[in-house]
Amino acid sequence: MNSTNIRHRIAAAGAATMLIVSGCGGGPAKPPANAGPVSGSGENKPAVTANTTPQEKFDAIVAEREKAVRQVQRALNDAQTREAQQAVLDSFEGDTPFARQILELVDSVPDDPVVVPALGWVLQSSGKADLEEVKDRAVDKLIAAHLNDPRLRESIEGLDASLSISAQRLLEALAEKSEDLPTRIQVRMGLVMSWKRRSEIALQVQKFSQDQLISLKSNLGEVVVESLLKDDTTRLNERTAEGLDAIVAMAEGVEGMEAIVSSAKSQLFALRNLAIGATAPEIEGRDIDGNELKLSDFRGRVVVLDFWGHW
Amino acid sequence: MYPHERSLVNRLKDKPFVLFGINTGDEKSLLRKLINDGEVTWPFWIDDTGKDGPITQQWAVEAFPTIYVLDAKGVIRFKDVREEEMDHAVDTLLAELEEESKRKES
Repeated sequence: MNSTNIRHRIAAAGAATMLIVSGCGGGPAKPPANAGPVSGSGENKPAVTANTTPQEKFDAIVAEREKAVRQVQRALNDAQTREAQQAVLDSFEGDTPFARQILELVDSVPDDPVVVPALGWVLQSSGKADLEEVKDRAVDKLIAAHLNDPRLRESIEGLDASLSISAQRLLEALAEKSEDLPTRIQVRMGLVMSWKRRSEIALQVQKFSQDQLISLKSNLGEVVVESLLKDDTTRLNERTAEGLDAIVAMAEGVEGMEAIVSSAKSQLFALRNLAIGATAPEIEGRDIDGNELKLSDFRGRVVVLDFWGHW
Repeated sequence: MYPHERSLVNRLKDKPFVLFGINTGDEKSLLRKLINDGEVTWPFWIDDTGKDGPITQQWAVEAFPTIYVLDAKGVIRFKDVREEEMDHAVDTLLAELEEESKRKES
């Protein structure tokens, strides 16, 4: 990691709220991370007729949704006051109606190749609280029939950053039951990192004021926020450590998994030795004049450690 | 960040307290200048110039600055506290230490 990277990461970290919102696909006005094979398809599509293919029907729903988002964005720009903007947002249901239409489409053509990317789209979408129920149904379908579909990983890329409970359920199934060992390892690593991140977010959210909670709920939905408030962060950290142990055991010696093993090991070290309540690891080294400096020589004093770069 | 830390170090110069930096990525000449200009008034480890050194890696530091506050026994008690929060953390631990030494005396 060079210093440019480091600075980039600091900028990316942002405040807690930003972290949360950006990790979840953003508010209702933001398109989902993966718009599926349709992205780039214009507005000049032919109208959907009786003999359009399932793929075309899927594309048409996604195009409708993009149109709806653009309308909301225009309405937001036109809104003169904060209240008016809020009213626009309140009246917009996000991706939920479109996700429902996609589920109906999938139900009507359960064996069509469009099913996997379409269900992936549903899981990547963002909207109000009842979207979680739609996602849950999408996950049921994927687990039942498509876990080993080669296009599944691509369709759900980045889903480990989602706070959606049904998304977690899909990733857990994939980490357990995929026929492909690297897939099981990689998905599990993503999952475990999402627990770590979730624990950090929950810790922040549990300190939020009522006002901050209300605005967070309008972004993430009541279900997700309530579950964050109930999270036991100590337990999440224990689960993270157990998961990392399991990854090291599974992946050690597997070709191509070296980076995951080494990252899992350093995360484990951090969880066990750098958590609040742990005795700080020794620091030995030299100061700018070449004199030896040893952290444990300063027991008996309160110590602030400041990892910094001036750059 | 330098002014805040300078004032903390200055305010607690007669207390059982020490602030350490762990620098990674800066040239020694720049660091020397920061000391000579009176910007940095506390000791620090040179972890590595140009990239993350072994200390930064072992401590799994991902963003800068990363702050840890340790009590007098060397136990990690606070993380990522900035400005007033950092002052408050240090004052809490100093009060705890004082309380403990009083108990031992009596």
